[in-house]
Amino acid sequence: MRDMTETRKRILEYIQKNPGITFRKLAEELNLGIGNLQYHLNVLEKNGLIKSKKVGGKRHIFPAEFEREYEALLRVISNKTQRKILLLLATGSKTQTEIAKELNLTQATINYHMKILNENNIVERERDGKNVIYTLKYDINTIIRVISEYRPSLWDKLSDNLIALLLEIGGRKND
Amino acid sequence: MIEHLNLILDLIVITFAVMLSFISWIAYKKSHLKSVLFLLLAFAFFIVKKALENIPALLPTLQKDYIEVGVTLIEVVILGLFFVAIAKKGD
Repeated sequence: MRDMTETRKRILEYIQKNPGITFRKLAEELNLGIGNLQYHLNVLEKNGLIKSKKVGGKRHIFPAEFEREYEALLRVISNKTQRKILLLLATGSKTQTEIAKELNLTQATINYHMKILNENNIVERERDGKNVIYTLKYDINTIIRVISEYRPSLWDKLSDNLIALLLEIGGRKND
Repeated sequence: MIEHLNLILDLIVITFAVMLSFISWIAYKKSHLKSVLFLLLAFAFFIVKKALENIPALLPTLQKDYIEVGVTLIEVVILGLFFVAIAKKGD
């Protein structure tokens, strides 16, 4: 940070406060020209201070220390049902039954998706008697920011439909 | 004329099979469901089958009987893969 220009420092601090922000939003909110912002981001990325990844047609920028977590987040939000579950959990902790009811999914389908979310360290599961309660383990603002900017491609939508179809055939009504 | 029409229809079928293979590939990368993998293989075999069916037009000297057996064998494999994909119960 020592040899950084004021603008670059401002960009880095903004990314650290808003992990997952898109390139366009960053340019708008810091009131910077695209070429200028691109230059500073390239320098920051070269110095290993930030990481950027293109997902759903948009470039998301994260602080470098966030790398391990953001890879998992971007992976799980590529599925429509998982995006819905995360947005639902952003409103508060829910039991598996509540998630299934709200999203009109079977327990088995919820099991499948929650297992993926749990394995990727995005949610935390806690047993409370007969119920399993799921809580987001991730910063809610980051999840909402990244999901709201996510625009699935046609191929993404079609592959989600195929997964849903196969889960349904296998007795797991997806959505 | 009818040969040209046949070729066009075959190209359409191959295009669809490639698209379906691509969709299955993305779905497999996302879900790691084995049933999706079997579908992917079935669509890929479909492309091979179509290519094989058109070989006699390119190589007229080749024995048609062997190709017909090959095509039928691939059809069995495709149907088998569809069956396994359905029977896998989404695992």
